Amino acid sequence: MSETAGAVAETEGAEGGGRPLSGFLGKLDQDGIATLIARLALGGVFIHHGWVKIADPIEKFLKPLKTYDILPLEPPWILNSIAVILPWVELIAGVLIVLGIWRRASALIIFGMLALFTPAVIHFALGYQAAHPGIPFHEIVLDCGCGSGPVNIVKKLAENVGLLLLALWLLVSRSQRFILRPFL
Amino acid sequence: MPGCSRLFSPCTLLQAGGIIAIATAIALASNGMREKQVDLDNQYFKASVLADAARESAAAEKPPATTPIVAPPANGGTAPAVPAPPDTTPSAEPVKPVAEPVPAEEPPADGIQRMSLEDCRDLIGSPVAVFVDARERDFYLAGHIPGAVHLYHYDSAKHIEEVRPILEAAFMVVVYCNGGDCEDSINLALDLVTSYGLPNENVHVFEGGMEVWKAAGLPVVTGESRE
Repeated sequence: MSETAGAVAETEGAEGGGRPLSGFLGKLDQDGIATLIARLALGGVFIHHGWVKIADPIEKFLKPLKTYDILPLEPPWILNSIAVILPWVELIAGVLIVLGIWRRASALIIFGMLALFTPAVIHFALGYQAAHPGIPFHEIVLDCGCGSGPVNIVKKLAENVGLLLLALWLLVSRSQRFILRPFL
Repeated sequence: MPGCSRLFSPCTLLQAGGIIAIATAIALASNGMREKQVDLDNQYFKASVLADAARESAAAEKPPATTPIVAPPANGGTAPAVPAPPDTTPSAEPVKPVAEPVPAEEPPADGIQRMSLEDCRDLIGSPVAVFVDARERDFYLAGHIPGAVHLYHYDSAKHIEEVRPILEAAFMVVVYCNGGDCEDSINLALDLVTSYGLPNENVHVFEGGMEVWKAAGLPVVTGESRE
């Protein structure tokens, strides 16, 4: 990886460039450390989640995906294709984010997936609670097919909100430091 | 890359499309090459499809709710209703309390017969019955019902011929999985009937699965051995 000055990249109109952020966000974006941490954290999580599902797409993703009850079962190729393709999208987007290649596009994909699946997780948990009325919402443990196995719903939602904020930061950040420059 | 400085620029969207296209190509290629692949055209969840269809059919056949016609009170609706005095006239026969009609248990929409734990327990060692474990191989190896053969539901097309002679020789084929919310046993049972040609009357599902079996303290066999 090479380190480039943010100001230089901005004048080139490269990805992530444009007008620098102002105020607190501008200061946060200045040295590129916050963006680097966000890239490593978000990319790392999605590399892990993608890899777990690729290793066992049926048990780790197809079956949990079906329990969401938000996708049509007929024709079957819709659900099956999503179970096969989405983990690879996660993995590749995660790798690109860590490397800093096509960062904004990768963050956009991850933001979109989180924005779609987080309400689905809530819907899933509410459905589970309706079927098991004695269990308080904050005590629900479920396997949402996210790649992290069975997890407490509150922890999962907090994690997703954190990941959404990281993806949002990578979308708005102008920093061009600590990236693989030749691919920009 | 020039032009990617704005959030939703065509460049960013093009790159996002490129990532998805590359991921799709790699995903489909790798899925085609792997041992444990997802058959894209296979319906793995037949039981749910049939249950959904049955629900929709029942909803379509249900008559629309009608408002009960209530005769207006004789006094024009102003006086409070007075309960009728109890009928004290002696009758020839004592009035028997009428029991609430018990609704008959509806057969499952999938048409597969269910078996209880007691029924399954009696089948251990039976020469005419065979258990089929629809779970992943690791679960089978960790512990299965004595005499059970392994046929993972999501991989059944590849391995059905290995167990077909055993299944066809049995008069009762009892499929099970983990129990609880697990539907793999029903889905595999449906495959055995609709895709692999076993007679419907021979195929049963033990819905309690291994959870109920183990909880009852019944014997379990580990490893590849069936006995």
